[in-house]
Amino acid sequence: MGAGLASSALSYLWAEDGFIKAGSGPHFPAPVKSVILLFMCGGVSARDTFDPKDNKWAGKILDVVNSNNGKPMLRPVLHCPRVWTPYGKSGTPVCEWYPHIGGVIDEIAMVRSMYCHEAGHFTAVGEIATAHRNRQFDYPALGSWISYALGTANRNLPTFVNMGRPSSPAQLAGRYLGTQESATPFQAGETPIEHLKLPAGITHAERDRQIETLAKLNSEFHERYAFDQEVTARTRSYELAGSLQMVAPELVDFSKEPEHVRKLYGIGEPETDDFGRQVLLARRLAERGVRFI
Amino acid sequence: MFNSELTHEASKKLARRMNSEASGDLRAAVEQGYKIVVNRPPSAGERDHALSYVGNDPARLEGFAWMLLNLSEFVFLP
Repeated sequence: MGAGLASSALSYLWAEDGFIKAGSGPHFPAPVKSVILLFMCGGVSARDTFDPKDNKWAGKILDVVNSNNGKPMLRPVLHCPRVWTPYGKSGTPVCEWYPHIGGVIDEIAMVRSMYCHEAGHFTAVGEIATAHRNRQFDYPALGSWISYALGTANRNLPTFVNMGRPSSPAQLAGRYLGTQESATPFQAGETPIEHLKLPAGITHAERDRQIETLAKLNSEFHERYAFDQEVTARTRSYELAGSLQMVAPELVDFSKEPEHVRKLYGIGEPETDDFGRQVLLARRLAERGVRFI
Repeated sequence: MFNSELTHEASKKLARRMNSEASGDLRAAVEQGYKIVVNRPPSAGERDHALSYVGNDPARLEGFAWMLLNLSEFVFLP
């Protein structure tokens, strides 16, 4: 899903720059404006969720391809105890652990052709985030490509947000696209962004005056270090932090969400509250124009 | 760096130190603040901007101290 969005936006840019023939883009228009990627590192195994097995190899010994630097690696194939039932018009098989997903399966595009070369968790996360196996930390993350290709739709918010602890830093970095395409970190829990409120005794008017003077005091330094991408990007992130301070209290305030929406996301239930908050916040970010969450 | 309790407290203490080391002379206090935080005196332009913020109000040194701690030069240069 993300790849289609990125490639169509990129092909538009490349067409503009004359790298490819205009109009040679995707077969269908890409109406997608934002991507929410739920990356469930250490989540439930594929064979227990969306990857049906007929157990024809169960119990046999197979060579695990791509797992041992080209040398054979013989392992027994486990028996899959799940029961699969076709659902919807598409007849997509869904396992008995997901009865509700079965009911909406026609709304879901299932991609089963993707695979990963890396066998270790950490390197596999890096491969998925950057599409590279070697020197993964030299390459931009998927979210950075989307951010770079689509640009901003809301100047008060970042284009690329990461929620909670990443599975690998490779998922956050803009690398050669520039630090400004790196993810802005939000935290899980009740306060997604820390230090949004002014300390006691400081008024907004006074702080505005201070920020204005600070910009003047910084100007000579910024002229001298204008070539330094890191400094420029951080300066921009501080400017962004200023506008975030204005829009974020509304953004992270779930109290105006209707009760049925809060319930839908499992907010208030001990098992689902933490995850539900992150997902609902992701939705609110997408509604306000953030490109990749 | 903008709103944390740590920066807030440090600004107060830095303002007190600048003021006492400059014996209440605000122009000297600005000079001293730059020397303490970025190890150099302010340029003429920086001194003017700082003084036009502080004015004649010693209480404003706290806001100036906050600026010093948030200077890109202080935050980003190793």
